[in-house]
Amino acid sequence: MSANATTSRRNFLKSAAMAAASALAADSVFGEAVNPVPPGGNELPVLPNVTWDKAPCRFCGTGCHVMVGVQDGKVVAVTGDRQAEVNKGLLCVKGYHVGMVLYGADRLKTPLLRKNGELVPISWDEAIAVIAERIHTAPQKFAIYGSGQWTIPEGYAANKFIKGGLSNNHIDPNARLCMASAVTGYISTFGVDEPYNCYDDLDHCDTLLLWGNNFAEMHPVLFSRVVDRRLRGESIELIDLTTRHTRTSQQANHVLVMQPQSDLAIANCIAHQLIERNAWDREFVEGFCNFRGPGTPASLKGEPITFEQYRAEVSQYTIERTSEISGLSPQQLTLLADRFADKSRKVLSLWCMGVNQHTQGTAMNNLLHAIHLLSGHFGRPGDGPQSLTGQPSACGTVREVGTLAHALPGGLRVDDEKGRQIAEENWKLPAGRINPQPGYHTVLMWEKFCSPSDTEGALDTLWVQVTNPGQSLPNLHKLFNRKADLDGKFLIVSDVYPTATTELADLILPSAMWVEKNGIFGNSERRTQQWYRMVSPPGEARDDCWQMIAVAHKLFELNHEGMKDRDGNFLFTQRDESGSEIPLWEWEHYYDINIDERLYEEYRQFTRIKHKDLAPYPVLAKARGLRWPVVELQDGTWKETRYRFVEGTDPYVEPAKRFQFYHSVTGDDRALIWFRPYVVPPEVPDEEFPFWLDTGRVLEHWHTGTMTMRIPQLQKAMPTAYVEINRDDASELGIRNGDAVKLITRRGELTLPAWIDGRASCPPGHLFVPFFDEKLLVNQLTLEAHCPFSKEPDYKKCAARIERVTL
Amino acid sequence: MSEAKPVPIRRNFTIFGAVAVGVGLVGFLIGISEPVEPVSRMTVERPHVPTTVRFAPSYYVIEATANFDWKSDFSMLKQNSPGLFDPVHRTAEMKNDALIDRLRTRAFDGAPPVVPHPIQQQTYSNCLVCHAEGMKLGDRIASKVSHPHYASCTQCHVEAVTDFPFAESFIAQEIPDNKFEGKLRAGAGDRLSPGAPPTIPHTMQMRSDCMSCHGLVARPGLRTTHPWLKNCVQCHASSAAQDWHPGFALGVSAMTPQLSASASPESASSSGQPETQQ
Repeated sequence: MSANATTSRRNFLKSAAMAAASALAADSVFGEAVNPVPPGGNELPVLPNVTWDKAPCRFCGTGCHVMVGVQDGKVVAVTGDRQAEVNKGLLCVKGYHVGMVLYGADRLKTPLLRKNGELVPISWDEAIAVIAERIHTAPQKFAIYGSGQWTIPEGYAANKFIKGGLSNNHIDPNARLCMASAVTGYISTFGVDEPYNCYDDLDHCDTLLLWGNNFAEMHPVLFSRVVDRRLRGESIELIDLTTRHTRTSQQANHVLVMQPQSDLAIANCIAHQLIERNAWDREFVEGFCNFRGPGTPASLKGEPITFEQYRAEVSQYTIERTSEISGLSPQQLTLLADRFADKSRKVLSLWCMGVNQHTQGTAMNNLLHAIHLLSGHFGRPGDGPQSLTGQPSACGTVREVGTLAHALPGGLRVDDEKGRQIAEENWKLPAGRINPQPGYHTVLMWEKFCSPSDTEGALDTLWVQVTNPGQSLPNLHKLFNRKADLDGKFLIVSDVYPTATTELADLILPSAMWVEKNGIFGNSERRTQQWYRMVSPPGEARDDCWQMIAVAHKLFELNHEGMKDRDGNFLFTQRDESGSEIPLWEWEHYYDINIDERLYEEYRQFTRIKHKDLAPYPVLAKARGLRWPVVELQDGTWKETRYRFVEGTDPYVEPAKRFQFYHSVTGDDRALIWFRPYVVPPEVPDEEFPFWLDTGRVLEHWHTGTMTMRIPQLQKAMPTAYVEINRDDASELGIRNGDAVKLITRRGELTLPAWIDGRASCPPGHLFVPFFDEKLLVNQLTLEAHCPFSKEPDYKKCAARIERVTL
Repeated sequence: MSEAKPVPIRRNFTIFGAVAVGVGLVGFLIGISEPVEPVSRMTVERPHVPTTVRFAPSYYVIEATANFDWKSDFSMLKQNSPGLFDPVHRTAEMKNDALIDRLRTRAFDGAPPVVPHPIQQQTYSNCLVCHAEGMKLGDRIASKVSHPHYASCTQCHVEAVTDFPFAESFIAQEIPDNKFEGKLRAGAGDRLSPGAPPTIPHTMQMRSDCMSCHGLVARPGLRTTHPWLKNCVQCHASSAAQDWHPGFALGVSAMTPQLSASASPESASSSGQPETQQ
């Protein structure tokens, strides 16, 4: 025992010394690298016979790292990974219980085919053959609906299969419903997607301005990263710009309750005030920005305008008018401008679904970047605009791999000839293989799948992986449920549990999940995170990526030309050291090599095109994620990038440039300051439907609850959806706390309990319903109206009526 | 030669001093040590842990409190925390009970406990009214927060069963069973010899304030016998398995060598030793 104690003490000293050395060697070029040894030291729970390995959490886009404890082939414990910069050892209640997602008793374990209305078990061989035959018969009536929860290799394989193999671009992910507006916002402002900054901002900001973002419940670990600073004696000002009073509001210094959609007017009003006060950053703007207006008609590219034109446009958003639109007081609007006018404060704007799920989502993203660029609150740690995402690899698999209907990996587009050529070259395809016509975006894809087969452009076979559209699509009656009444439709669903989507599935494929397979995610701050398979999937469940490759090979066997590269080889050919092909399509050989590593390395060549260089797999395997661009230094080490476009931290910024937007829309290294007008939302409350209906999440549940509702600790804490209603509205309608009420919109109705001043409080005239509960599907009521540029629907506002019912 | 004389005196003085210090030290060690009571080691690989959480009663139903039957308000509640030097009575059964009670609210060792009472849904500010220093009312304990450097309590701690005003038909949904079997705890710490301070058998992560579980208002079975000594880690060494721990590799970015090591086999085998509670 004493020898044991000595050993552990020696190791402790060794690790302490290494930590200290690493701190010295850390990036000192730009701000401080924050890598503190957390309270309690860097140790793991002592659990005999338990092996530990790192993995990113399965749930949200924060990208916390967990340490997963495995014993006898089962996950038995999870702890926060204190070497992870994102979460520094802390998790939220979902993260601590993430190991339990594998063990719901109703895991899908065998392929199921619907025969005469009944789901019957079939073999994998039969399942793969059924899919391949459907695709072979009508490849252009086939579509893939994917996910921001796909791993990077999975999304890459699916994208290559359909775009490179089937010459079909009908692939779109659920992330379309989640962050597509952020993508169009970044591209139209900076010419290239994804945040230039990172979570380090949370450690440095003086003012945190939340735009329609219930940060405390949606990104709790990041929220803690800010509010815990107060415990250390730091003074952080939290401004909560919100439509309802939440847990976030409780910690805010200022709660600014605004009317839905008025964020557009508020942002323009801030710009107007900055110009009127002459408090805008003339030097920054003249050095690094151009102005842009929406054009007529409004477009994603817009048209150049002068500063004077910009000034005239925003001058319509006077404090008085904006106050009228937004419901904010003139003092509150002044306060916002004060913060942006004060260059001594570091102001961080954060947003997520409130801004993105918006019929003016692209516009609102443009405006948030605009006020930061105009005021010069940009580029210092803690000082800038940053969008957050909701899924663990919405950035990695969707935005970077390009699993969108118009995109190719590495920021290329299918409707750009050069982009197609690069992809065809990298994929060794014959020239002209890739279809130049963008495919259907999510809403359109489901409209086409829910249209009779003989209508123009209808889809007949749809393969869903790692997502639950039967619950998460808007206006479900129109976009999903209608499938049940149509002939000739074939819905394939790869998932881990029965869901609202498998209800209508014709073929269900049981999938491996999370640490049952190798994987790579990309989080909200450009951090690419790798993990290894730690346990086996249950029953006959198999990797989603294997499923895709097996179908591709079956098509290859059916002599489908698209499954061959220009040399006649199978699209996903992998060879062993002796040069012979590995039969990856046979499950027993799938893990003969690390296919994740092979696909990732193939994909990596795309990432250098737009300066989003990823680290080699072995380097990634050693890190707790690395933020791209990751470049190799002369000494052979690899360096990540915390702030893009900023000299001293971004390796692609030329010396003495200070800021260089090297993918600039205007080709002159400048970012765009956009004007976008306030636009009235497509549906507003009226006499018949007098309430605003908002939907969203709660802390305990993640998205459609298929995982979290199977974790007793989370399910018991939040077992049911509810409608949040204002106290005065409730008393006027005779609704008491807990009463059953009927919620009605133009698209459907739903009976659920009313909760007054429960988890949060709505202002008068507003309702809120969380969407996690598969028994109370609020998306039967929501509107599918979407942003004209990002095609992202607005789940946050539609008109509703509420009635008391007796059960 | 004349200088030879003081030597025995000095030597005697040294011997006397050493004996005095020695006696003092032994007395001190006896003073802080726990009753000698050999017990068999509790097997906690998977003890029977009731799945129901014991709910914390409201203060007006705890007879021993001043607020019994709503007799006074919250501020008048009289705590009955033990004194710093009160004798500590602790048996192996009490320890066992305490550990099992602890597990009622946790999915596995290291999971944040669920909250066994209703909470204010919208804020966490009032958690610390009771849990900042911990309090004891009757036999009920509000444990002291073990990680005071974190503020957002409700981020990790959710209600065991939320106190909804909703009809049962909304709440009582059939949910599938979960077959996760969490690792519960490692076992007791090691001792170099009987009477030596045991090592800490658990991680210090989220448990940096020892007094949360071992202090004056902790569950009786887990209380320290010497609460007046405040620097616990001076004598109780961490026994956390660190063999796996790679530290930080040198370089410009935070990277670590590949991880896939097990908890130390030594600590695994040591858990087979009988616990000697001094």
